[in-house]
Amino acid sequence: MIRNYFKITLRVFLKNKLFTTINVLGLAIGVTAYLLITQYVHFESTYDQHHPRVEDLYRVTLSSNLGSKGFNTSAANHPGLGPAMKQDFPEVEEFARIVDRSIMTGNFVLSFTNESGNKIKSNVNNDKVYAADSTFLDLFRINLIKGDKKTALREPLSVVLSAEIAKRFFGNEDPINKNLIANNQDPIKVTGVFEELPENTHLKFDMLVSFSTLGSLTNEAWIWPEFYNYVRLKPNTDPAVVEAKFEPFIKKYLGDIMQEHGFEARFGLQPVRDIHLKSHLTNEIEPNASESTLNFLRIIALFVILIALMNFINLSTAKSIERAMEVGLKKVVGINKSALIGQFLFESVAINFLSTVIAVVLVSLLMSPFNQLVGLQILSLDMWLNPQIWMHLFGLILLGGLLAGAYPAFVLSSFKPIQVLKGKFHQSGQGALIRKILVVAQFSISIALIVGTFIVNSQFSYMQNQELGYDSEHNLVINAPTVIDSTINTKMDAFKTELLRNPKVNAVTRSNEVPGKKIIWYNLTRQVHERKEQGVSCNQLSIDHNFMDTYKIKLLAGRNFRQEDKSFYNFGDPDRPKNQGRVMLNKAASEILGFATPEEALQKKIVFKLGPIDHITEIVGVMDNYHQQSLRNDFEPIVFLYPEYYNTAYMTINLNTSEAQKTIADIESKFETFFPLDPFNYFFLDEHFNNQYKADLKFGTICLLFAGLAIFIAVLGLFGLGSYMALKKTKELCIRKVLGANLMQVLILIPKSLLALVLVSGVIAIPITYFFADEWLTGYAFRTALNPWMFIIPLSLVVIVAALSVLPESIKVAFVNPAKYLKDE
Amino acid sequence: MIKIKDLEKYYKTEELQTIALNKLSFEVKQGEFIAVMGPSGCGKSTLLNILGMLDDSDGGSFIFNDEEVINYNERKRANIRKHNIGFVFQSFNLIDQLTVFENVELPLIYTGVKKAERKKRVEAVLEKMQIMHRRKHFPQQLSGGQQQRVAVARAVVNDPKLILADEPTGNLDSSNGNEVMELLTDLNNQGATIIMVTHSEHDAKYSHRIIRMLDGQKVTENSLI
Repeated sequence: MIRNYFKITLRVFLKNKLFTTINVLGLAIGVTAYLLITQYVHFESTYDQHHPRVEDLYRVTLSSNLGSKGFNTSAANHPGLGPAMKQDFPEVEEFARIVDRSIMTGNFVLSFTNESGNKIKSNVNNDKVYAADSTFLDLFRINLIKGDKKTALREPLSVVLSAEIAKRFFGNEDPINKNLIANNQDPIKVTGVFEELPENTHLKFDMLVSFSTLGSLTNEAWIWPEFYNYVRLKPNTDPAVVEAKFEPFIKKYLGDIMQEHGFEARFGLQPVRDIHLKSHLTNEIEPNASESTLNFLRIIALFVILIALMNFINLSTAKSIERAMEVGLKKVVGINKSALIGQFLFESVAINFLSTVIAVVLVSLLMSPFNQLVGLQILSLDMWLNPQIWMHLFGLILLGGLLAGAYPAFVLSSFKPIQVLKGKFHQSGQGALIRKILVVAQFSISIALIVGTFIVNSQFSYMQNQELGYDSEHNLVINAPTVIDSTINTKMDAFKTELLRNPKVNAVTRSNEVPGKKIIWYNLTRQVHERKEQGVSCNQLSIDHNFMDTYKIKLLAGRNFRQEDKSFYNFGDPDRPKNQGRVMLNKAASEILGFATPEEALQKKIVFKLGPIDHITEIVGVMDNYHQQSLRNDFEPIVFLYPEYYNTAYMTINLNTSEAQKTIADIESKFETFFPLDPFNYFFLDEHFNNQYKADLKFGTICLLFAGLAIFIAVLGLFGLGSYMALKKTKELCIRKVLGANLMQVLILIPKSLLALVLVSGVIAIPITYFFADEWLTGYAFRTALNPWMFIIPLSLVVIVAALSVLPESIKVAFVNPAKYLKDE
Repeated sequence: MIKIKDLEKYYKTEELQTIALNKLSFEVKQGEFIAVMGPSGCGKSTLLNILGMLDDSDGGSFIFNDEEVINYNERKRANIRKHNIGFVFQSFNLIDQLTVFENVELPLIYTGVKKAERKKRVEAVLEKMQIMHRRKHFPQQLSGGQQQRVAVARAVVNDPKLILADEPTGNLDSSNGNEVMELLTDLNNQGATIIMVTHSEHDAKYSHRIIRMLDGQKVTENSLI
C-alpha cells in the first residue's frame, strides 16, 4: 500500500512540476521563516532562566509620586532596602544590591603596571561596572574561573573582572590579588575572574566592585533611589505575602521623608525571570524587549506558515478536477474511500516533508547572516543536536501535512464516479468559495504585514530625520580626563584654547553628559516662594558657557552663561553662602516650574537639592528644548548648571571639516601632552545618538524581511492559482472571443476577479492594521502621523504584484485559438 | 453571400499531416439554409470554423459579402465576425457565472451597444425565444432545451446576417431538438442565412440544401426545394 502511495505520489509530483514546485518552495520558505523567528523568540523569552532557584528571585521596585503628578515606577530603589528587608521579613532569605559605578564617579580609568614595568591604562567608561554585594555572586549564576565566590566581593576595594577585561590588563598573568589603580590613586584588588555571561540575561557587566567600597553610610541610605535591590525568598513563599507587609515597612523607613516632601512611595516584587519581557520601568538596567514585539513576531511566524499551507490547500483543491478522472476510475475498480484519503494525505505529508528538509538546509545556510541581522549569536549548527527541534519539525510535518491535506483529500475522495466519468462533473461552488476565502485571508495577512512594516519603518525614519534641536553632525566627543588635581580647571581652559588654535575646530564645550544618554542626575526643583511639596523633578546637567554655541541650541529668552556665572554648589560647608548660583533652563523646565513664558522665568529664583543641601539660584536664560534621548522619549525638563568645580565627563568639539582623521590626530596629541595619564577615547555624536535606534532598526529590518517572505509565498500561491484560473476560464475566454471580445477585454478577465479578492483583503486588513499601528505609535512621544499613503502604497503594491503574478498565464490563454478549444470541449 | 473556392486546411502533428479540407468549393446565397453532413472527421467543423472566421485556412479563397477575407488578420476578422455572424454550438457554450440575460447581452457589449438599447434588444429576443421568465437564472438551472434556446438567442441578438450552427441538437432529446430546429427555421424565414453542421438526417430536412462531405471534399449537393 505504502509503496503504491509512494509511486503515485512521485508520478503526481513529476506530472505537475509547477504546482509541486510552488507548494514545496512556498512551504520550505514558510518553514524556514518559522524556524528563524521561533528561535529568535525562544532566545528572547528565555532571559534569566538559568539562575539558581530563579522562581524565588525578585527585584524590588519603587513607585512614587515624588516630583510628579502620578506614580512613576522605577526599577531602582534605595540602598537601605535590602538589609532592612532581610532583617524585618523572615520570608527573605538573602538580598543583593548593585548600582552603576557612574553614580559615584563620572570618569573611571584603571591602570596596572606589570612585572616588566609597562603601565597598561584603560578608560572603562564604555565598560559596564557595578558595585555589588558579595551575595550577588550567590544569588545569580555567575561562574568564577578564578577566586572564591563567597569572599570575592566581601572586602572594600575588591573587584571581580570578566575574563576579557582580565586579559586586557594582565595578559596571561594570574590577576588574583593584584592591584588595579583607579583614577591614578586608589588601589583595587582583583579577587575573582568570571567566565563570559550568557547573552540572555538582563544583568550584563564587565566588572563588579565590592559594595562595601561605597562605605557604611551608603549601606543604610534611604534617600538615594538608584540601587537595584534583588531578594531571594525562602522556597515556596508567596510573594503576595511579602508585598502585603510593605505598607508598614515603608512607613517605618521612609515615613519621615515622605512627610517632609509630601509624597507617597510603594514597593513591589518583580520576578527576575519576567524582567526582560515585561518590565518597562524608569531606570531599567538595560532596555528590555517588549512582549508585544515578540508576539508580533510570533504572529508573523504563524502567518507565514499559514499562508504556505493555504497555498497548498488552494492549489490542491484547484487541481482536483484534473485528478477527478483518476478518482472516478479507482472508485469504479473498487478502491475504498479511506484508501483514497490515505493517498492524498500521503502526498500532502510528502510535500511537507520535502519542504522541511529544504528548510533545514536553508536555515543552516542562513545562520550567520541571521545572527548578524539580529546582532546576537542565536543560531548555531548545534541547534540541530537539540531533539526538541526535531520533535517540533516532525510535528510540523505531520500536523501541516494532515491539516493541509485533509480538505483536498475529502473533497477529492467524495467525487461521484459516474458523474466524473461521464464528464458531467462540475466543481462545487463551495470549493470555489473556500478558495476565495483562503485567498482573501492570505492577502489580508500580507497587506496587514506590509502596511505594518511600512508604518514601523516610517516611524523609525521619522525619528531619525527629525530636527534634534541641536547640531549633531561634525561633533566629536572625547572623554574628559579623570586624573585630576587642583589645577584641573586651569589645565582644561588651556587645553580648550589650544584646541581652538586648530582652524578646523569651531567650538569646544565641557559637560557631564552628552545627548544620546539619559541624564542620571535629577532632583526636586521649585520656585523659591513655593512649598517643598510643590517641587517637581528636573534633570541637572553641568555645562559651560560654550555649550549652547557648540551644540547650536536656540536661546529663547535671557542670555547664555558667561564665565562669571560659574557657581559653587557647596555640599554642606556652612561658611559658604548657598544663595549665589546662576542657572539656565530648557523650555520644558521653564514650563514645568510654572512660568507662562520663557521671559517670565528670567531673574526668578528657583530652589533645588544638590547633594544633601538646598540651593537657591537665579535663572539667567532659557534654551529651546532639544532631544537628549531618542524620540521615543518626550522632552525632559533640564536645569543647566555651570559649576565652578570640576564636573566634566565629556568634551564636545565642533569640527568644520570632513577630513576628521587628521584633526582627531592633532586633538589626540594635544590631549596626551596635557593629560598624559589619561587614555584618549572619542566618538562622533551623531553615531552615538543613533545607537539608540539600533534595536528599533533591527526590529524594522526583521519585520521587513519576514513580511517580504510572507508576501512572496502568497504571490507564489497567487501565481499558481492564477494559472489554474486561467486554465479553468479558458472556455469562458474562448466563448467571449467568439462573441467579439477583443484581446484587452479577454486579458483583463482573470486578473480582474483576483484583484477583486485582493481589494476585499485590503478592506479587511486596513482598519485592523490602522488600529494596531495607532496603538503601537502611542509608545512614542514623537510619532509620525498616519496618512492614507501608508495604506494606499502597500495596497497598490500588492495589487500590482498580484496582477503581474497572473498576467503570464492570462496572456497565454488570451491567445488560445477558440475554434480549437471549443471543439475539444 | 459566401463564396469559397479551393479551400484547403491541414493539421500537422510531429509524425503526419492530415488533410481536413481538400480544395473545397461552394457558394451560399443570402437567405439560404444549408445543412453540412458527413461522418466524423470529414472536415465539417473545420469548415464551420473557417466560415466563422475563428480559424485560418491554408489555401484557396473565401469571399464574404463580396470581400476576400482569406488573408485578413485576427482583428479584422473579429470585427466582421462580431457584426455579421452568430454561433450556436452543440454544447451550448454558455458562461456558467453569468445569468441568461447577461449571456445574451455579451455580443451587444462587445459591439458597443448602449445599455438601454441592450436591455431592449435582449428582452425582445428573450421574448421571442420564450425564455423571458428565465432571464435571471443561471445556465445550470435550465434544461438542455432551454439552454440551447438561450444560446440561439445569444446568436441572433445582434441581428447577424449569418448563423453558424454546429450540431445544435446534438445534446438534446427529440422534442427539445425539434423546438430548436423550428426556431432556426423561423429565423431563416425572417431573413437569416444559416449554415448548420449535423449528423441528423431529420434535422437536415429543415434545410434548403444538403452538402455532404467526405475526407475534406464535397461528395454531393442536393437541393430540397
